[in-house]
Amino acid sequence: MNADPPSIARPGKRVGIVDRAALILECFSRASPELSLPQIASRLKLPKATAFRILTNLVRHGLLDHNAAANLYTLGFGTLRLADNLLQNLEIRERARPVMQAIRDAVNETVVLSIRDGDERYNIDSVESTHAIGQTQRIGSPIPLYAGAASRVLLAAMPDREIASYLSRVERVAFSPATLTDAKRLQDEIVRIRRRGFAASSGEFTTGGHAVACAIVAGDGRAAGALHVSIPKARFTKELEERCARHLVEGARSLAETLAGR
Amino acid sequence: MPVQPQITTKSDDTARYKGEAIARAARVLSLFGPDVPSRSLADLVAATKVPKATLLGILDTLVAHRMLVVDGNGHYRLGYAWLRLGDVRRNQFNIRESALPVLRQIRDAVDETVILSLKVGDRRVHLDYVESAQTIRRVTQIGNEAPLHVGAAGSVLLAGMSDAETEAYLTRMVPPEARDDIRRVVATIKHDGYAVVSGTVNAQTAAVAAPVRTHGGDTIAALTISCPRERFTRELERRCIALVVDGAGKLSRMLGYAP
Repeated sequence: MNADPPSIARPGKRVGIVDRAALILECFSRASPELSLPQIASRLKLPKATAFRILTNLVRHGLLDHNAAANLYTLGFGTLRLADNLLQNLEIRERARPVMQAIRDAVNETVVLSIRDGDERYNIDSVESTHAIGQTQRIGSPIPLYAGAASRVLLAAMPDREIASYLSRVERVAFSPATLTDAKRLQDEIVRIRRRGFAASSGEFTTGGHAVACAIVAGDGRAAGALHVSIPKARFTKELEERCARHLVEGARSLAETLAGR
Repeated sequence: MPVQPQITTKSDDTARYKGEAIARAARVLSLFGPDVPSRSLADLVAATKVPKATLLGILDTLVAHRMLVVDGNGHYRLGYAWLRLGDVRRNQFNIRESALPVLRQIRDAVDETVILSLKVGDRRVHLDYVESAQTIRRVTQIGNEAPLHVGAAGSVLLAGMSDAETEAYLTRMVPPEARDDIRRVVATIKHDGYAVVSGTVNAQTAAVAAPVRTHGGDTIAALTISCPRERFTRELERRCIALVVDGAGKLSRMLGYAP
């Protein structure tokens, strides 16, 4: 499965009302999880009556909820169920499991699979270390492409033109003092990742957390996803990092072959 | 649904037609389930009974918004847009806010830790909790995750899935020799309507959990009371079961569930 699957969309053929329904769903974000009818109508420049009709239909089908007391709309449980079904059905997850387990068995640290969608990375599966202390990985939440080793191997696998566009377009926020946000340093790091075939990072989200990552590069040169190992501060050594890198590079290559050979 | 007439006006017919298009899009999306990762165009035409040309327009629109993707075989699959939207849904404080009074009520009644968890993929994730005020108490964190078959909350979520989904989960997540035990646990929960776990996940803790359902009847969350095992007498177990079943019922009704 590619991060950018081929699309057969023919813009001329879109169904206006479904298009607007999708645009309404896209108005909701972590920053604005609740919206009123006037807010939605003005954002999409729709007559209120039209917006109201679409909203009512989306509520009926469980994609939106309407809080009558506050007169606000939120995304419905239907979106959660679709996200769930999507996660369960990602082909790469099935294929990656044995590889991830083998890496976990070799290094006994948590191994995580992620994919890129647009400007975000999503962790889609993890195989946990058996140590009592380990970092819990959030599954299914967006993570920006500039922060952390797993994001940057996905970034490094993009064509230069797309990287340049990404870096010029996306505002970069530091999650910790160690987060790489500077364009020049990110470009240098991309060169380094391409040379070494893997990436390492430390403490870019939380101080003390280390990660080693490798992209799963498909036949067309695009990354189908990334594998990374997350290592807590207490167990981190350079030697472990190198061992993880070896296993990740090997695992990602065999996974890429499996994906290509299907 | 017949093909839309040539001339469209702002009549009731148009309004109904537009509602129909959204209904069809929603129907298409609902056709992808845990057991049906992808569908061909012919398959979708057959399942929706929508004329191919009309359906193509809806599919193209959903693809343009990455709500569907077309895979290497030309089949449709759910698109990544749902990951982002699902994440927004999961993070919004609404369920948490409306559930909090229920969680507090239960905590005040037994003075044990009460937890609200969601199902995310193959895991249960703690969304919120209120702690017991006792010195020795169950502690947890928001965002804490575990595989569904581990613990009371996860087991309740597992028992809320269809048999086919449960089997698919077992194949993915559990070694063959351990599956029968989990099947038995799931059957018990389906029969009882709640789960009791004591000392199997963690030697020091016990937990009782019940399902929270939406208007469609889907189990989307679990309400759990958890306490140190040494306090978990028969008497406390009975009280916890009554409280957690009652509380989960309240939350389900808030979500529109009508048994």
